[in-house]
Amino acid sequence: MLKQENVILDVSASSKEALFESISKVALETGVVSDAAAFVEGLKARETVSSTGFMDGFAIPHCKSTAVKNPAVFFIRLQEGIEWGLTDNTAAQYMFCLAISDSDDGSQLKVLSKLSRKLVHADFRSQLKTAASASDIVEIVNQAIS
Amino acid sequence: MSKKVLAITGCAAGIAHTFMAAESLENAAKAMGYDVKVETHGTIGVENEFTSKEIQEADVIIIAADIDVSLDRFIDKRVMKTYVKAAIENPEGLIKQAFETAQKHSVKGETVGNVSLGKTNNSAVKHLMSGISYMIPMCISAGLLLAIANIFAFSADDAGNLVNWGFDVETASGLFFSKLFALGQIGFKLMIPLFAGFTAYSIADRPAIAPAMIGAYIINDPAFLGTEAGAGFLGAIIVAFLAGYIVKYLKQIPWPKIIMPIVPIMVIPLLATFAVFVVVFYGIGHPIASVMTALYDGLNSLSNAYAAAPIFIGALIGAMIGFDLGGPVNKIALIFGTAVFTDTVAKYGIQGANFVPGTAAQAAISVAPLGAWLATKLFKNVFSSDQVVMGNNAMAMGMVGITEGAIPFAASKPLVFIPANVIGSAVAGALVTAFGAKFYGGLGSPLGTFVGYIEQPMPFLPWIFSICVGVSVTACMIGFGLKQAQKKALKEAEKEETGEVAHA
Repeated sequence: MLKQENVILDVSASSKEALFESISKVALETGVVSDAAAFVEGLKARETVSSTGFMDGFAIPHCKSTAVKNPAVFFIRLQEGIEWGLTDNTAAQYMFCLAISDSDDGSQLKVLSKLSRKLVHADFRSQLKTAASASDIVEIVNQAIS
Repeated sequence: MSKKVLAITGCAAGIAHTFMAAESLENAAKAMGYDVKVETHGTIGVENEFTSKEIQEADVIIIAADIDVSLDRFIDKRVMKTYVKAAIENPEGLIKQAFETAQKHSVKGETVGNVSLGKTNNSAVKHLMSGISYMIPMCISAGLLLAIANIFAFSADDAGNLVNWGFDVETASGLFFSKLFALGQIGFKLMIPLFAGFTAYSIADRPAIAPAMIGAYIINDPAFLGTEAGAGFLGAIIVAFLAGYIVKYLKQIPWPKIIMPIVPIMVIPLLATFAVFVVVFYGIGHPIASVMTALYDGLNSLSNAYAAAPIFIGALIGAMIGFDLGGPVNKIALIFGTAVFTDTVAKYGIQGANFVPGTAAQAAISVAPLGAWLATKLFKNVFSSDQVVMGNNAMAMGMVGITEGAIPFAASKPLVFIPANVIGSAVAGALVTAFGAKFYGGLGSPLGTFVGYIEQPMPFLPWIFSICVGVSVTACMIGFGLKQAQKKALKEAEKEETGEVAHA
């Protein structure tokens, strides 16, 4: 489910919003969403419900939106972590961003629930942190959720 | 055989955290050597659902959810409720805590875990408490303004006694305080419709507010009714339920589609307000107003005739507060105290107001949790080390006036704790009444004397003293009762080893 074109490495962002903007740009280019602004709004709306921050530098912004044409997962690695409300107060530097289509029959959500469960495991997180290239990350993730 | 933990996780969006929490709990429970199963309530729906056999065999059930999860399946099981975040942050701690503190979920629902403690499932009481919770800020601000103005309404004679109640409106400060006093009175007048409006809102939502507020205003307005006095709080309660259920009924009518958009904003409030007016003016308004007048006159003459009468009432109210710690009996005492205070302020003015039940209730509120805390300090050997920690928790809650802090204790040994709570709370209620303390507003705890306004014969002490005596009585009764229970248990344990402990 994770494609190499959706792995965004070493971007810099000053805020959640700025990051959502750049993810949406990529999402529009790769045909994941039809409307970048609506996708940003969806992600922001989810953050206002409660922070999607996990711990150990990880966060999982996500939203279910009609703007999503081809559901996808993005992996983002930031140059420098930003404040995200993580439970252990670390800065968020690694994100899985989940774009779920509104018409999902549950199969996308299934994959995402697997990914969420995987993220709880410290070894999975450290693999992602030490991965050298986008293709390594794609392999790690797809192996984990297959 | 290892112990069995069941857990339910669910987050607001139901996409990611539900499953993170599930995984965290599964890992932690396995690492701790428990059998575990986690039911996930995500957007996909409920997955990994428990069988009734699994529920039957579970030792403890953890609900880590930000969404509403029905507990109907778990009657008589030990259940602990918390948020999904807690399961992600510290799953081991949560499981440990669940084994230590989870309370049996009973049909009444007042002993479930640490979130919905002391809750009453009686829907009528729930609606009333909802109304009261909306009313309290107004009650406190109006009460404090009245109290402040009241201090300046007295002039002192040479001996320092306060005499001649009244304001000299000729002077600037007299005018100011008379207006301040009037401001408080307006607050009390508005409080009745506000209360009725939100009680009805709790029953039937927004369309019920208008009929209930208007109805409660007229039933409390002697000029409108043409009576001697208004029907006060009792009238407001009746109007609130009347309006609430009329609206609830009207909402069920299959209105024609074309007028649907205006049904909740116009049709229902209009019809219900008219119906309430007819019932109040031609029906219940006069009789209730006379009953209320007779009741408060009766209370007053009783208090005048028998000096002990208020003390008895104070003790009774205190006892009710301590009885079920936030359950229906406790709430009725609180409602009664608030009702008597607001009605008599409206009827007789602040001088003639009956503070007894309200003050006694507030003094009794913190007795049970503080008593439990003191007992854990004085009689350490009859408590488990966890209970000693829980005692500190109870103290913190007691200090801010939360009776529910005593529930984990009361639920563990009700036969010991409930009598101790009732008697200690009654003592506190009786003592503040005997001192003639008047509670205008603030915290229902010893701190109330600093955080709030309480009129008492000397500064601070009577209030604190009364509560401390009540707390000591409760603590001693708990200590004594638990020692007896321990002796009895030891004897029985010698006779036979029962499965009672595992069941508890």
